[in-house]
Amino acid sequence: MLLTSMKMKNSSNPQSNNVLTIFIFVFFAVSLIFFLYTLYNLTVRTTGYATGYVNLTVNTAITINVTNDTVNWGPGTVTAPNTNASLVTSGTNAGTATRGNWSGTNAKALVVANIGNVNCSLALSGTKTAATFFGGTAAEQAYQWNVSNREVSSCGVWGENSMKDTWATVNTSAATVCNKLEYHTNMNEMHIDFKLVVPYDATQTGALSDVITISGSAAI
Amino acid sequence: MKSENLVFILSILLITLSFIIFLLIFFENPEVIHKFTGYVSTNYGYINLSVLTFVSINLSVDSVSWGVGTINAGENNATLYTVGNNSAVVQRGNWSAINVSAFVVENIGNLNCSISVQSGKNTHDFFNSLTSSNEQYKFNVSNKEVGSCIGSSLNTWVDVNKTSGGTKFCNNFGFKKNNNEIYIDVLLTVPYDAGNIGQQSDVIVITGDAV
Repeated sequence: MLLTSMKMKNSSNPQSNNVLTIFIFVFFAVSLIFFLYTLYNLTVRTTGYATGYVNLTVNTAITINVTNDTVNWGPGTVTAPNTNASLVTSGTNAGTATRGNWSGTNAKALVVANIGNVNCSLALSGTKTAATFFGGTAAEQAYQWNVSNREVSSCGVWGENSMKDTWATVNTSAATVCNKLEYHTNMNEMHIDFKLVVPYDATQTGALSDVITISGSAAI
Repeated sequence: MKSENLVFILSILLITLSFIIFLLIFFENPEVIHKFTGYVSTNYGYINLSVLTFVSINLSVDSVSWGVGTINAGENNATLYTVGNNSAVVQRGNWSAINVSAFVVENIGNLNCSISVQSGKNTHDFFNSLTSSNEQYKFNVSNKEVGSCIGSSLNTWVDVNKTSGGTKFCNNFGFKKNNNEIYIDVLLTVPYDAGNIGQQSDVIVITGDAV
């Protein structure tokens, strides 16, 4: 606007300048009104001056809660002469270890709940691949997840479908599995199951772990 | 000129005022920022397990049984020895070599280990030759699968050792599939004047230690 006014100045057209001046006056007046209104609101809220009014603001919040946040298989070995053991969680049931002697008692799916007050999208990522998790023979190892609704219709709009109700290799980059995770009670929870295939010749031994990052963002 | 100056001043005021309003709105409504930035809630899940290391030795063939036999007439001894999983050999005697093959040892753990072999008896304990001659009792360790065992006494007949710990044949016995099996062949030379007659046997102990 300033530039425009400068150009107008050079054009030396008094009529144009007058129109511009009027426009700016109007603009200024409107801005001033907004300014005063905002200032009034601010003063009232911070001083509690306004009596006779009940003011509140309900903020929208996205809050993801992981009600079961750990899949813990504990110690175990691959049963000889098998070349791998398979460890699989199954929702809220105890996990199952085949060809190995791990205990599935504390190995249940992660449970993710949207406890905010808006729908949100849900993105997942791990930090390891099967190779970095276990090492050993590539053909004898796997690190996979499977995302499903724990409560019917919790995920209203699925995103990345590769792990929807099926096993897919864990991503180390965030994958948006659900574009619209509901927040309403009884339809706001999802399961993330995991399958670990441990090779008999794992080069990574002892305590092994990975961290799954679960992010909720504004739904599309 | 007056009008132009006024326009300029008003423009500056307008910009300043707009900026102040902008700041006030953001100060009052921080969630607006969240809306603009895609307010994100982040949480974490954890996957834990422990893979234990262990040494485990399996004898997939755990018996060398020659059955009944005698030394051929006129001979001072008979020699019997296994040859891996091939047919065994009987010299100067009439023992049957059918179904007689070497011990097969497999590393089914998930660590490399050493292999030592200890017998329960030495040669004389086994046969008790009256002249302490013409008697032998030996082991010969070899790879069933290439590269399974690394040691300095492979493919050689070595007198049995009944002292504690026995004889170390493998310094490094692998656990990986297709590289984790060895033979322990057994050679017996039966003297004509054996003091121990009838059924004879021995128990051997094979020990693997993690390396």
